[in-house]
Amino acid sequence: MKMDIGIYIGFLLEFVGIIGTVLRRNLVMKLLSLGISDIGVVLIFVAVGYIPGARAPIIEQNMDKYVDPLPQALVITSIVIGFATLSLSLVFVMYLANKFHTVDSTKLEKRVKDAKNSL
Amino acid sequence: MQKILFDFTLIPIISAVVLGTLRLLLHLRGRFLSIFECLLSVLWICILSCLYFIHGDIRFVVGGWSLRQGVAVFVNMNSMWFIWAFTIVWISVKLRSDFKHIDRTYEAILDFLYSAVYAVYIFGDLFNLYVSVELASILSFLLVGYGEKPIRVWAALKYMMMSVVAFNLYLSGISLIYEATGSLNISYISNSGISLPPIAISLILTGILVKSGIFFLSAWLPDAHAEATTPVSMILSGGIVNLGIFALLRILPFIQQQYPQIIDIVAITGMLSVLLGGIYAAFESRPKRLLAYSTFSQMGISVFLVAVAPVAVGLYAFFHSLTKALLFSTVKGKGKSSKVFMYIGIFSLIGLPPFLGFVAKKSLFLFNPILGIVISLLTAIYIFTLPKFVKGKLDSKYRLQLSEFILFLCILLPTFFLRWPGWTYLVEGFIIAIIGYFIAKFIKPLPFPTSIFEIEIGISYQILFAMFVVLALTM
Repeated sequence: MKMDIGIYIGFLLEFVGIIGTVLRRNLVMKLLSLGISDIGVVLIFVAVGYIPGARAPIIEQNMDKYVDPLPQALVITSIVIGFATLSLSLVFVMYLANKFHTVDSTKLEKRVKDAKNSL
Repeated sequence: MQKILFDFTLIPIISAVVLGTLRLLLHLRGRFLSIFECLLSVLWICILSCLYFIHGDIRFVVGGWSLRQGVAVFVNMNSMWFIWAFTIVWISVKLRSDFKHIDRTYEAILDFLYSAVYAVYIFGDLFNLYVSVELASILSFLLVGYGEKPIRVWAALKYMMMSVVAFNLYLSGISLIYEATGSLNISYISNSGISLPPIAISLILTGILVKSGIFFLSAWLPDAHAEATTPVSMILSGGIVNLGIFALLRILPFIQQQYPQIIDIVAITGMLSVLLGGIYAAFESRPKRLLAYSTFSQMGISVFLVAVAPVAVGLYAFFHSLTKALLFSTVKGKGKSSKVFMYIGIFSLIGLPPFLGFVAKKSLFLFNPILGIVISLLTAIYIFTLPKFVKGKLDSKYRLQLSEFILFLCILLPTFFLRWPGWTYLVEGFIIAIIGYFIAKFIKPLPFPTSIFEIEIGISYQILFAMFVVLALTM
């Protein structure tokens, strides 16, 4: 493995994020946990492309050793997708919070279903 | 010349994006443009089909990059079945008469969705599979939440959270694969023979199965499919759940080479979904929710077939997409024609001739006749309870729906071009349908627990399943 520590920390962050999503009832906290999980994945990708002693993959004169540029290109795409998903989720949470005055997922589940049945 | 012809496979992606963008920028809308888009998509897919039948499998790397690092395109017979299935369902949604009440943003989202789903079916590397499935998912979240009813927004949010976790797992899995092999191209990884870490396989499998509509793992499905508007339910059940099945079909062969036990895991997961989805559907009284549970059951069959008979999956997914789209379209229909088409969908789902289900379900019977009978009987029982709960007065002014007629034709006509399964199978099918009909008459709805479909529990299943797969692969 090229950079074990980075990969381990990445997995740890991802796991912490997912556990946060499961344990926290507050939707905003859930989204923050998902953000942490996203960061973990990004760190894993960066660590996978890392080569000890190598420089950033920007071609210059007399440059013979640079890190693998492909994971970095991939990770930019995944960051953009993560950003799009989280911002869309926040819009949905804002809509629900305005409507039902809570961001607690258990209360929301109940109130949303009550609102549907009362129609 | 061949390169130019191959580059043609990318044109449907570009044309759908251009038309969707034009709709948004120029404020274009109207039935004429929808019909034009439908004709154009049929034309592109017909040309692609001709190219496939003349040349066979289409493989190339976009931009002439190396196979190891470029964006690979791979179109095979399975891709063709899935592309046709989605195109027909997409056209039938575009041509629905209630579509004229819908704004242009929604129509543009549908155009972009076509482009993203088509991309899933043609790309042959793990990262572009991720990008296309995520794009299709983001557009699906928007479609589910369309109409701004709180229940829809809540369903979309649940779908989104579970989906994000699943695809983070998938992404970390493919990063480990890249570390091991130095490539994300599926053909390259299959041929390299480099051993893949079991944790990577487990994470990828979990991510894909969450998208496949499997009981427990896809806890987002009942709310999203049942609460969305009818055209969106058609697209979700008839097209979006197929993405996971297709991804599974792409990756399973190379996993199987190194971990043969993965086949048992996938087959058992599929079978569990067939049974639990079927039981939930049989005791459900809300028609759209019944069909959502039925999707669990039918996707379970698809996942099971991916493990035991991969050749049959394309036809099965094609049949299920069209039949489920027809059923979703007709449960809220107010015309006599809708009721007729609903029964046609029911007969097709059970597997009665002359509809496509009759041919598609044959592979199940060939694998194990007793299993085939049990699954078909379960399907017959729950789907015959559907007409009992479809309410609403018939409207004599309600005209024949063009979208339903197209789906009906596509369920009926291909049967005559496929091989006849045999008279024994025909008799078995009728006996199963009659027994299922009488059992369904005596079934009363039961309130099964729905708390298993909550966000926290759905994500917990994903973690548990990933851990279980790692254990099973390392032991």
